[in-house]
Amino acid sequence: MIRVVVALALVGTAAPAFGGEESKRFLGTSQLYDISVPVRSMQAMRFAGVVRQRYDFSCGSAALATLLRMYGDPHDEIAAFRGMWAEGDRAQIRKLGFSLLDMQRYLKARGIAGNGYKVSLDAIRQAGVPGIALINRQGYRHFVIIQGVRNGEVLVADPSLGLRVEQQDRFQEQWNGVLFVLDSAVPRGKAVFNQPARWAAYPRSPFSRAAGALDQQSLQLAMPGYGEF
Amino acid sequence: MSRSIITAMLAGSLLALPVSAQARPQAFPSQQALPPETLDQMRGGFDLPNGMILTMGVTTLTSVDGREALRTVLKVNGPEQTLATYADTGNGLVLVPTQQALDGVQTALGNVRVNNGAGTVQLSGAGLDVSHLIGTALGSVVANSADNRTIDVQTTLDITVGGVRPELLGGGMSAVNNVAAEAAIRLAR
Repeated sequence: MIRVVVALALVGTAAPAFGGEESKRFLGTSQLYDISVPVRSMQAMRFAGVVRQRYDFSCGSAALATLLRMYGDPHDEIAAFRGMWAEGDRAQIRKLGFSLLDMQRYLKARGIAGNGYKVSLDAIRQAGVPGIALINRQGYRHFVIIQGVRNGEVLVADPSLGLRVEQQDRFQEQWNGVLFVLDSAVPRGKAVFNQPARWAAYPRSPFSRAAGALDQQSLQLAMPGYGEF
Repeated sequence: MSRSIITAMLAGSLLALPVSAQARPQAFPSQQALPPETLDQMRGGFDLPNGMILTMGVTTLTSVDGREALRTVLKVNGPEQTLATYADTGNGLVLVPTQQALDGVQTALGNVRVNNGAGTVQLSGAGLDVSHLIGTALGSVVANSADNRTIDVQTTLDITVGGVRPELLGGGMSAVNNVAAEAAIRLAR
C-alpha cells in the first residue's frame, strides 16, 4: 500500500511539470501497480518555448515566431516565413537569409510596431524587454532571441540549438549590439522578460556537483589519519 | 471557426495596436532606433537546423605526365564562396588572375580560362581538353587524343564541422564521415 501511494505521488508531482504533447511515458510494472511517469528528453527541454528553424536560412522566421509566441501570439515559422518571403527581397533572402527590415515590414503589415535599437546588455536588463539579436558564430550570422539578462549571464533562445545560457562577455563578443523589439507591447514584454521559469527550463549539467564531490573525496584521501599529525 | 480566424483574433487582442500611436511607452529612446537601411543590412541565416556549422573546400587537380597542369580550389564558408585557379605557365603553378579570366592564361599545355557563368575552368590545348566543374556539379572531364600521355586526376574534399554538441556525437559524427566519404567517392568517379 505504501508503494502505491509513492507511485501516485510521483505521478502527481511530475505531470504538471512535464505535461505536454511531446512527453513520453516511462512505464514500470509489478504485480501490485503500474507506474507512469511523464518524461521529456534533453532535446525536447532545450526547445521548450522555442520555434525550431526548418531550413538553413530560416533562423529569422523562426526567431520572429518565437518572439511573437512570447507575447501570446500563437505564430509558427511557416507563417512568418511566407509573410516575409512574399514581401522581402527574395534573391537576398536566398543568399543571406532574412533581414531585420523584412521582420519590421512583416510586423507593420500586421499592425505591430517593431524597431531595432543600438543598445548594451545592461540597457536591455534595465529596460527588461525581450528581442531578436544578430550574432556571429565562426563567421555565420544567426538570429537568436534574448529572453533574459541577469547575474552576468544571458538567456538565449536559439532557433537551431534551443534554449541556452551564455556568459555575458562571451555573448557580447558574438553580438553586433542591435536588439529588435516590439514597441507595440512593451508592458507585455516586461512581463515575460527574465521569467524564472524560463531560466529554470534551461537544463544545466550537474558538472559542478560532481566536481565538488570529487574534491571532497580527494581531500578525504589526503587527510592525515588519527594520530598521524 | 477556422484556426486562422482564431489566430487572428488572438493576435489582435494581444499585439495588434495602431503603429501610429505615440503615447505608448517605448522600450528604448527613439534616438537609438536604427533606420531601415541599416536594418536591411542585418541578415542572418546559414546555420544548419541542428546547430552544426559546415565549412567545405574542394580541390580538383589534374596532372599530365607527372606535372600539375591545372588546379582548382573552391571554398564554401556559409554564403561566401571563393574560387582560385592555378595553372603551370612554365615557372611552376601560378594563380590565374580574375581579371584575365575572359582572355585566359597561356600555358605549355594550352590556354586556361575561367568561365564563372558556366561554372567551369577549362584548359584547352593540342589534343587535350580538361574541364573542372565548379558550378552545380563538382568534378572533372578530360578529353585526350594524344598518345602516351599519363593523366592523373585527384579531387580532395575538405569538410570542417563545427558547433557539434554532445548529443550529436557518436552516430551523428559517423554519419557525417559517411556523407563526406560518399561525396568524395562520387567526385572521384
